[in-house]
Amino acid sequence: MPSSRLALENLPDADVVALAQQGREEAFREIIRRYERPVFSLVYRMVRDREMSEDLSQEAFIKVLNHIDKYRPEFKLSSWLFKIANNVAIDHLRRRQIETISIDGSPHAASLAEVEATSFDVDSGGESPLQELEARELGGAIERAIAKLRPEYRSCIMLRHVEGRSYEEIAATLDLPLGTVKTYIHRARHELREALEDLRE
Amino acid sequence: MNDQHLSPSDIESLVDDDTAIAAAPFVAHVAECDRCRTALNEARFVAEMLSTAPHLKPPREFTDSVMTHVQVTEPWHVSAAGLLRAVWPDRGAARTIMMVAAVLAGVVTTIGVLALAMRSDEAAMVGSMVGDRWRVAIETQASAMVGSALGGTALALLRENGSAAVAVALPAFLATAAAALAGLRAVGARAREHRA
Repeated sequence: MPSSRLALENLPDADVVALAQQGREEAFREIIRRYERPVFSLVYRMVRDREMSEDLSQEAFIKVLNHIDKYRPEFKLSSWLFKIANNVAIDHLRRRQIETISIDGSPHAASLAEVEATSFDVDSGGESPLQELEARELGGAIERAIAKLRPEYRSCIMLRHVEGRSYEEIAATLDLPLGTVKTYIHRARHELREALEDLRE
Repeated sequence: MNDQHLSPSDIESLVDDDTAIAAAPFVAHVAECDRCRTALNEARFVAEMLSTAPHLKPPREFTDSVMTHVQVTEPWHVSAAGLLRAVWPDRGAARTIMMVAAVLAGVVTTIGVLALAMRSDEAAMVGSMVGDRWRVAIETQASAMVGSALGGTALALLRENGSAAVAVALPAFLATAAAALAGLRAVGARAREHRA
């Protein structure tokens, strides 16, 4: 492993970003190395399609890295990345919703009838990339349960429990009011609890 | 609290943080209430399962594919600093000479700027003279051009009537020039057609 890479690994995000702003390519690569898995995981769990997740994660990184000079240090780099990745995934889901039919209902649906009217079916064939996870019963069950959540619940619950973010950070990352984030997470956990009831027993 | 069960929202707040001061009465209630304890355990089970969800791995070539679309540009001040570092000798006599030269350049520049500032009235006068000469030269050239294009009478009228005449003559001149250009193009096109 080159020594410059080792040196970069030990730097905090803000310093790596500063090096990227000076045009150091290895700093760009270090940012990708640090966040490719969390970003890819978030996007994959949002769109449930491996190839599309690769494209969308790539798009998120390209957007962030090509505007690295506009990065504001008071905002966490990871929050910025998650924000862009979430927006990219939500945009994709909205486009797909228009092109086909929805799985989980429009995020803008105001009533149960509207949710049902805008719902789309989960394509179980698209879950083959999760074979590794589904080999483990618990992992597979939780992944299937997450897939059934509404997309905005998914991003909130992922950021809260997989990435360990606080409610305030999630609200800032997703541009949502704090109360909405709490409601989404509580509802998501409630839905997951019901989906995983059999497993508990 | 002991008479009524915890709401789903209370349970969720305990899952998030059961050490908060506000959570104390809920914790006390859960210790005594089987139903709420069961609900809390179920909620915690979900949270624990979620926290075990692994990060998924993107393909090996992910970084390279991202980097092919990323523009890595070095800002000018970083390039300048790099250039300076490259030409700046590390040690020895060359370094001393470079330092002396840099200090001398700085001193000479500063003296030059100060001298100019102290003679600012002279500089303003010279500037004004140069400006006047340029204005006269431009006016002479413009008069010559207008005179040759529109004739001596038009030039005299322009001089007599000032800006009002310019307002009338300029559009007329432009329209005439555009008509002449269009005519020439038409003649050229006709000639090309004829050759073909």
